Amino acid sequence: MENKLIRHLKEAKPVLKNPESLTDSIMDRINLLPVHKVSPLLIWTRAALSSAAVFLLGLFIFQQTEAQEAPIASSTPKPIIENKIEVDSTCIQTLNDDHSNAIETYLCYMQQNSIENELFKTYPLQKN
Amino acid sequence: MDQNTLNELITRSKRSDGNAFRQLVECHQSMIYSLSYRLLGNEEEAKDAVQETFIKVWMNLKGFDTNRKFSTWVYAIATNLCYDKLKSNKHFSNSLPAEILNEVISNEDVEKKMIDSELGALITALTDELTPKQKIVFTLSDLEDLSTEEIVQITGMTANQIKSNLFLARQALRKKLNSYQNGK
Repeated sequence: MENKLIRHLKEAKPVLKNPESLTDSIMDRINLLPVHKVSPLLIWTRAALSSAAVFLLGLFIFQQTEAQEAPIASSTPKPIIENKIEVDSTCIQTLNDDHSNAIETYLCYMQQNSIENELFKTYPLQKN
Repeated sequence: MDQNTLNELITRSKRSDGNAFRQLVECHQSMIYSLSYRLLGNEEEAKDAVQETFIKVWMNLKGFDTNRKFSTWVYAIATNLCYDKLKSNKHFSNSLPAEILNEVISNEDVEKKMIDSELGALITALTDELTPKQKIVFTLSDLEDLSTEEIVQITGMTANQIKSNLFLARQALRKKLNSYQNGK
């Protein structure tokens, strides 16, 4: 009896009445679903902003590296005015240390003047 | 529908082609309706289940692995939906519809079709004491005639779980029929 009943139930397939209307209602519901389309403008803006961010980060890192390397680069000739202040202070210190040795002070100035003269000669080159 | 056409429709549907998806729905909706009706025993609920199934199919189609069988995947979605409905539905104990049952048992002609309302009433009454899992396994195995391997893929249960659920479902069915015959 049980097997016979199961056989009957298996044979009796439920029939879908009006399948077209069910398909239509499925498609209608699908068309109502929100579509998550990203606009091309947004895609380009994102790409441009990302590139700019990467560029700025690279620039920042580059500048930081340059700043750290700056003391090493200071071994190159100093600007004339800066050099002049250093020369004056050297000679004045000598003068303070030894009041009686005027010739030594004079020689110091002479020596520094000759260095300065050399520097003035190279000024056009430094300027370039 | 041959496999190449089906694959083409799936690929086009993945690209949000509504016409291709419509053809997929037309091809598979009867199969899903049959399963839903047998599980839920009600035309309106079965139609709702079909709609919800295909909406889920549409929403998850991009993640569908084309190496899998499409119909098995759709079956799995429909079965999960029906399982949730069966769990939330209130449980009523129905007495067997005597007239329909007598007609079925006395009728030797298996090919003679029952009308859907009779079928729904009979299935609901026969399976009302089964748990949702037992009902699903019984329907997929004995009514939809699917293999254990396919039921494993659809339900995610192990073969042993399927066997034990099927055994319990058949036992409950037999018990119900015996009590009906004894009380006649």
